[in-house]
Amino acid sequence: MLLGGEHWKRHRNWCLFVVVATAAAFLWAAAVMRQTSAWPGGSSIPGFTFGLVGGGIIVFEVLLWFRKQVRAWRIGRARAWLRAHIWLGLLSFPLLVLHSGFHLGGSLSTVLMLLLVIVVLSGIWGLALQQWLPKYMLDQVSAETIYSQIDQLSIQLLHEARRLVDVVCGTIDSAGIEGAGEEAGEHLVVGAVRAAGRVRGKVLETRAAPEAISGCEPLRDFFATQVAPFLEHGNKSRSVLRLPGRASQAFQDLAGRLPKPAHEPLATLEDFCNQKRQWEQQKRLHFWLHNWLWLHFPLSLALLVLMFVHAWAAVKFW
Amino acid sequence: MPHETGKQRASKIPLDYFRHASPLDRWRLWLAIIALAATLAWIGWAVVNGKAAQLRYSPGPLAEAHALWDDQCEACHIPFQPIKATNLPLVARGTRPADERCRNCHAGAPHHAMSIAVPDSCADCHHEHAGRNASLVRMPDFTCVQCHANLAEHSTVKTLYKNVERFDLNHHPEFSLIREKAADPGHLKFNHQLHMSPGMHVAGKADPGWTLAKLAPSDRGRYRLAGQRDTDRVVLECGSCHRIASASGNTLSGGADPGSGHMQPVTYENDCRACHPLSVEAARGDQPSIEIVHGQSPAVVHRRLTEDYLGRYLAEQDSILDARVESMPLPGKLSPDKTLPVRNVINARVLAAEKTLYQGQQSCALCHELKPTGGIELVEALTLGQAPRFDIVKTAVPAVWFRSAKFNHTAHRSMQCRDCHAGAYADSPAASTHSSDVMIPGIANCVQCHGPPSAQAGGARYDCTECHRYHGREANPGLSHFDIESFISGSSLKNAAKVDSP
Repeated sequence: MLLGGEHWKRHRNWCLFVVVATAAAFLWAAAVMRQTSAWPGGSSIPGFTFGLVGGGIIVFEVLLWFRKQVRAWRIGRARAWLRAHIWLGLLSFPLLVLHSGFHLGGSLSTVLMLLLVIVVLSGIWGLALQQWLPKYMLDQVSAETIYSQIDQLSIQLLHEARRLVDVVCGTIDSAGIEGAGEEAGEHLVVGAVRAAGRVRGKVLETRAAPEAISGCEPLRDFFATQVAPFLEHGNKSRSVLRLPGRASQAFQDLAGRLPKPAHEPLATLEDFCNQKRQWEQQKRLHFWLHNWLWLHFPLSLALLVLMFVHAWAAVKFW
Repeated sequence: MPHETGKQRASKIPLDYFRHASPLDRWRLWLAIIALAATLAWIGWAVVNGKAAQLRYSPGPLAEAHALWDDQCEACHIPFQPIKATNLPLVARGTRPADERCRNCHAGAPHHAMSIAVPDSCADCHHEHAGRNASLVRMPDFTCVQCHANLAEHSTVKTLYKNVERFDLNHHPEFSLIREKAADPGHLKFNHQLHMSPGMHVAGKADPGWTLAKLAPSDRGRYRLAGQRDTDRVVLECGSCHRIASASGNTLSGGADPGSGHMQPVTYENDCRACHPLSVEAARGDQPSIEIVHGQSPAVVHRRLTEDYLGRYLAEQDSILDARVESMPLPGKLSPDKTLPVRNVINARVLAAEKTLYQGQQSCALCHELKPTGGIELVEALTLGQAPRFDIVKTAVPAVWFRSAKFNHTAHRSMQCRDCHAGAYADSPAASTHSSDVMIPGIANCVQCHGPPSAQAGGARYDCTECHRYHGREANPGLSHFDIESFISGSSLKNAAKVDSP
């Protein structure tokens, strides 16, 4: 969720609320501290209030996960939920620190505070990354696709590239291309099996099918040693195509060794590689955009469970 | 430029792609499962381990005194009943059932009978779980001044005490000893100025004063200052008589608590005897003097002297032992005019000794007040053949002067005595010459150090509990006694309180 620019007006009131609520809580606690010479503990009136409100906020924060699971219920707008999640989450930290009376206490309360700190910090980290990583991705990864489908799409890309090379190099003729239709002799037909529930089918597109071109042996070798490994394994391969500069140079060198009619299929292969390289970058950026959730989400659940244990123990041994 | 448009790429994506989790999603799910499993395992371990695991719920370690029950919450807590009363408005004010568990060992005396019950429960003031070294009796001033800042509203009767807001000249009354110009109730004659003068020498007198040579050889070392010879005057210092009571080695009396930093009470045997020996000379010079035990009543001393002189007389008159005494002496055989009864001899010697003891230069009356009995004058109190008809008024020098506050001399041992007790020094303009003088300094002396750090004060502690305790010094009534096993387990504390649990 973006905070800056034109988005800020939607966050301004929330931010103001958090600042005012935090200041009010501190003032209340400080007023008690001035009397008693110690920050009020969890069982004092302010401490108990802070704990109750902070605990309630944590429960609400976890409800965001539930809200995402039942999107169809439309319990409020997702943006409103997320805004509340962000700002109330930030508010919960000072409230719960005040609830603790600035003491870590025993093992359970120490673990709770540690979890709270990690959850809040990871949330802030995630929020910060979301301010610029998506824009950066938009600028740098024009071939962006759905993250979870990158591996599947890469395999498709590899198959298309292989068919293209086979046709150009004369290993098979255009009539033998899988999925060819009526105009198979004139077009290279590519497509993917798509499914929606039980309905499965092929979505096809066609490109002009090249004829077999003589003198394309370097292309076949290049495909086998560089293109195919890169399309299949991406940056994990040892292909020179991982690096944009070296890839461009390699394709230029190869073009010099191929007859002119083979340049267009070669450019198609280069496009495939560029696309794959962008997907690799997208995977990397996507990892950084979402890896904070590896901490934020699991530890939030642990925090929630232990919070209830803490509340139970605190009420039992009040 | 990419080979494909976004639309073309989208056409290759299955429409139900969202049903399949990405690797990142799968990782997140597994980590969530692991985190939940670890959390539940910890809770399960805590449940299985029972008491030992309760420590994990604790908001912090107990103070050293209670460390025994660190993992036994119910030694003090009653489940689902607040241990304190004042913090939450949901809880009715008043003594909490859990207080009974405290009172098993700490049956603290009430503060003031006339005070309106604030605070209510033990835990309202004594905050536990603040760490091993936390003090359970060092309360914030708020706990005191919530009442003492406005005593009229917190007392059931009209109080004579002044309101206190904090410790300084303007918000704390002068110490009552100073305010009421109290006199020493000790019934002991003592002149600090004289005793603190070298050799107890009085200006203008030819007497060179009290020299070390006048002390018994065994006492000279104690009073000899560095470089002094036997012909030099005895120079007393504060420490010659006043010593801080320690927890070890001293048998204390008079209310001074060992280890509390109180001054040890001054006693005759320890501090007076060297210069004021209690002995009377024998009837003959070749006999040892008679040592009188300090603290005995005049009647006992009289009997002792009579017995002693009688014994010595019999020892001197050997012939009496050889005289033949008829069992039935004939009347008129011995003429009373020609002989003196032995009783008279003995009585005369006893009377002389008593005059030395009670009326001489080194007499008891030098320090003690003598109170005649039977409505006679003191001069008539000593008569031949009779026990003295007076009592020695029992001394009552307070071992602890502050009635409501505590003062620790050990904590102040780095300070010179003169800064607080200038009157004890012979060269002081306000030197004390009367035993009724009270040389306790006032509040102005304390605030030089005890106040907020500033140009006027040194920054030493000045909170209420630095000097005061809430509960009285009365003995604890109704303390319970437990066997070791039940005491350690805390079960005895718990059971003892059950009777009061609602």
